[in-house]
Amino acid sequence: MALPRAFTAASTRATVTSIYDAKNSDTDPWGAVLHCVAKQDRAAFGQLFAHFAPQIKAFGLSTVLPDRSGQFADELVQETMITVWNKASSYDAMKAGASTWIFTIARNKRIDLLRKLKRHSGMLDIDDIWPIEDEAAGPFQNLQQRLTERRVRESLKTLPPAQREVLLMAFMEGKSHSEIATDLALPLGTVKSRIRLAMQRLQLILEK
Amino acid sequence: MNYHPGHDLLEQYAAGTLPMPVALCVSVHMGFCAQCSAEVNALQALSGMLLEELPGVPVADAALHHVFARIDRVDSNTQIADARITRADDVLPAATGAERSSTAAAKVPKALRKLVPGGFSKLNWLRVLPSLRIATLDAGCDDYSVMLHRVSPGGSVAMHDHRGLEFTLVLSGSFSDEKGVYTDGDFLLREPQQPHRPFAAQHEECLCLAVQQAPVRFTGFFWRLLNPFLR
Ligand SMILES: [Zn+2]
Repeated sequence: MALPRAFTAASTRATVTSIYDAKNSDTDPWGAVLHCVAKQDRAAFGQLFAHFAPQIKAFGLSTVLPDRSGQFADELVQETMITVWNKASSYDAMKAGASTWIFTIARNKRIDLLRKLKRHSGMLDIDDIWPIEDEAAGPFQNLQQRLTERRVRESLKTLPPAQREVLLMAFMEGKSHSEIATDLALPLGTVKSRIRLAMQRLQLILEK
Repeated sequence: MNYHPGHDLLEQYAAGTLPMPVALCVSVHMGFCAQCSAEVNALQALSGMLLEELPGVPVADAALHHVFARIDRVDSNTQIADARITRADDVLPAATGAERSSTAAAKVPKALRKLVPGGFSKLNWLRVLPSLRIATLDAGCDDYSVMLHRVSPGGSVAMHDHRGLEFTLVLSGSFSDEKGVYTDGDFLLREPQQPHRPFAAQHEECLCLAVQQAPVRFTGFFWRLLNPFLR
């Protein structure tokens, strides 16, 4: 992540109110950039765009589409980044990392665009069903979430390529377990166990 | 609360691939369940990191200018729209005190507020059995029916079966069937060919969100519901 000096954690020190804030901006420089975007800083938005737009485009291109018109990914970039600009002031670095927050927006926009392609209508609001932020989470849950994010980021580095591959297909391409099995010519059980193993390794499975 | 969506469902919810009516049930459950919320939040964090690691695909040079142009165009209209939203929220009517049931008092979860704008008691409830009233919600999805079931205290629903998956989320009160007792926030998934006979608790009304896959036609549905011996 190449960041200009102006957007390092130091520039937001003035707004730091707690130790958790400080920790968060140290590990997540894009949170600080979002903070600037919230103040209508177009240069900061340009930085964010340069970093995330190509990835959102890749996310859009990996989508399994009902029809193959090439505009989907570009429209997804536009819609996502406009929402990032409009909602930046409601981004809360205490609740989630910047990439988590941007993912939830891109995911919701993908659902929205897919629904429009399939000409689905209805009264349900996508952001009501998939909230961009966890409003119910209190300080304890927020702290837990930031610790989880750090742990996942660390353990993701050592994840075996075969496990990473199925995670990418499930979360980025939006494929079901059986679609993944077909694509990789693997038995469904193998795909399911690979995903379970990856989740266990990342300690993402909570016992109920 | 003891019944949660499985890991697979939470995974598909986080990935955004769950059909909307099913995602609706998961979302409402998360409002009751800090555990599942934490799991989804973690899966979303994982997705954010995977997104950051995707090999980027260059966007057109003009793309950023396009975004700014659209931001500038929208800017002047935004304030009007914002004011309108605030006003719409203000007029949300509260449940009337006259109706003394847990349904009237039950808070409408955020995920349902567009479908239940005036509170649960204001819906068009249809009595299909002496102890069961149903309100059909328009989720705009042909593959699933989205309904609210309201069972009188101590009432039972005839033994019924369904062709597709059936998701049930208890919004208030409680009910039981052959397999257990379900209370606020419990999330149940029934596979086809699992006929069951739910009973509401004796002391209070039970309100559930019921989402069924591949529903039969309305007349057929009611007919089957009213025919306990029909499978
Ligand atoms: Zn749960």
